[in-house]
Amino acid sequence: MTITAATTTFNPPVEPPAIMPSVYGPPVRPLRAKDIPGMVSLPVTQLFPDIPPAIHRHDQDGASIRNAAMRALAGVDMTMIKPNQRVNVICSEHGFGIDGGFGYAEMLGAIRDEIVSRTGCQNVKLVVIAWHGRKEPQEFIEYYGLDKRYHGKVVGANPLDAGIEIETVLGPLHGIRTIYNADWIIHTHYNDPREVYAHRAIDRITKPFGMSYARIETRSIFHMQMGPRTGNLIGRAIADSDFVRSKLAFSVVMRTSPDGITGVDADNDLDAVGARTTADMLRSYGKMLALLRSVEDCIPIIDGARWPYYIHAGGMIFGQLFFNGRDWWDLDLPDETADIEHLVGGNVSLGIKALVLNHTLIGLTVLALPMVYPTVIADRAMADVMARDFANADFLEYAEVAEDLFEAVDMARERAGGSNNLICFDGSYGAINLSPSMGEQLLANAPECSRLVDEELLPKYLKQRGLDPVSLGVGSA
Amino acid sequence: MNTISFGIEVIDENCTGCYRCERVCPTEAMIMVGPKTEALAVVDNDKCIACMRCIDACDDDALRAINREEPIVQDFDPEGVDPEAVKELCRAADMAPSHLVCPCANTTAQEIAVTILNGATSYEELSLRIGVQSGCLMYCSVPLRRLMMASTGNAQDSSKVRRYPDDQSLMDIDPELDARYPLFQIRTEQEWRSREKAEADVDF
Repeated sequence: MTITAATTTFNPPVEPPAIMPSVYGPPVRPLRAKDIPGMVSLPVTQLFPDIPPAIHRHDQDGASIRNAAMRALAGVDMTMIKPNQRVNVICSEHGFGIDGGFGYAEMLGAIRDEIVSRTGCQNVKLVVIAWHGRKEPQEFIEYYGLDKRYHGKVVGANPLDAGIEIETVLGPLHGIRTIYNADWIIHTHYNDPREVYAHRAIDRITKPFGMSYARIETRSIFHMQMGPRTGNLIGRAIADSDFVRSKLAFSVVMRTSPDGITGVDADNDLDAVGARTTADMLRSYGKMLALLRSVEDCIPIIDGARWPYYIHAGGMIFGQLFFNGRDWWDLDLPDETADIEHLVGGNVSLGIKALVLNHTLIGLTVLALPMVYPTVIADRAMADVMARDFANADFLEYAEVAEDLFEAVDMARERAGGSNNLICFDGSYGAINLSPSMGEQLLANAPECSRLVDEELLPKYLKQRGLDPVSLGVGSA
Repeated sequence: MNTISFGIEVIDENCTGCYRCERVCPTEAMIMVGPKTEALAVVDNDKCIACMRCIDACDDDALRAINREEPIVQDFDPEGVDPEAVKELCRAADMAPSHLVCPCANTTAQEIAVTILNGATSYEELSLRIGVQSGCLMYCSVPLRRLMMASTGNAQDSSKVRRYPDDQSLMDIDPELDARYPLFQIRTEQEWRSREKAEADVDF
């Protein structure tokens, strides 16, 4: 196999975060996408030098994260927590998908230690929520050493668990009982924008209250019964409920950019940290999102420890490339439909020419991928897992299966008319593993994306969300 | 349309009688048989939709997926069903007929409505006839409930799966909340939904 020679000098591939073994995926792959001959890497700061720099890499110890968490928590009032009370620190699975997940785990551990140190309360429990399978939380607990970080006080939860009714302005909704069975809860989150096509950066900070922390019925309402903007009201309604407000001690947000984890923010005021989170997210990710919308020809290789839509390349999830048919953050663009699935499904990428699946988890519906694009599964082990994917029962009716990753790439290139533009969604932050021609495409498009976001889009995004661009030093508005 | 290629096999010697599989089975294919303290899991593969939830729930390696000799193909049958009745049922449930209800089984509101009008009255029957609830168990739960409630005023569930009655929809929201929560554009989306429901037609 050969890859077209580059006219630009690139770095060797970066080592992506290791894949956590899971019963919901294939055996860990013998070959990663970065092992494809000829692959190189492109730092995201070479594309956009003003992307906020990371303070931590997945292969480093967690000291920088712990220090950032301690600094952020220093400004938080914890006096409401008494030594004899119960505290639940609640976290969401996707935090573990950010640059390998150990940074998030370190932040969670630091939160526990600081609460114990400042309040004398020893009964601080971590609730690990995972939406898909009953065994999933335990996998996180073991892999990230969460039981040790929480001195054995850690429990898993998922949306099929027992619920608790929460009275809201929308009527009664249901959270997961395990999350709320304490005197105080600590909301821990991250500002990775993830599925921009669903939340639209509308009130991102409250989203977990309507998703990760909610029973399946409440999540179903968000996905299926609301519109593309009103769906976000579910989380806000729960977060604004008397019940949640009576328990929410403070919130902690792991700040990120496409370069990696950039810091930690924390506040007793949910709306204050929410406004900062939104502004930070819009500023840190706007240019890379614009760049993904500019991609005209590529072959993504899915190769990570999450479901396909949620695996990162240079800090951007594959879903952001797949659903790149419009600017989801520009709220002036009319949706013209109140059917979120219809809207999102109608805006898939025209730039993806074929697709390779090397490693992914099962359980999330991704049947659209092989129905829309030529899709090649890298080998029989991955295909056997997909064959039993209850959420994608007909996947193999549409996808092809190769003998190994290299053959899969050759087949995908052939189906894509000979394209050499490979881009690896392998969990990497800070740099994208890709083929030289893909790197050249991104480098060529980046300057115009940068100008567009600086001069037009970012000031607009901020204003649309009630944030003042001038006070944030953005654009000329 | 949904294809079921797998069934479930119980490995009796590994079963500890924990009842977890029974509690997650959406079709009552998995039941515990025997005195309560000695019961073991038994599967009826004619009722299994291969959602694999029982395998996920099992900590004892007592269940495994097996290939069916002949896959079961589930589909809806619009023969003899009045399209206007389908349209009205979808509207009453606050959906256009083309509204995607179950992404896992790729099933729309009109297909559910047809199946209800053909006599399905419970979550289990809908699963057995057209494969809903065979995947994530998340997306489809509320639209199924709304369509059944709009048809009969009741959403029957004889399985032991835990359910809660939340079933709000866009048109249920008080539009006065627009003033408090302007970012969510409640009135605008309600206008879009009303228009879509009025204009949409069934398409079998």
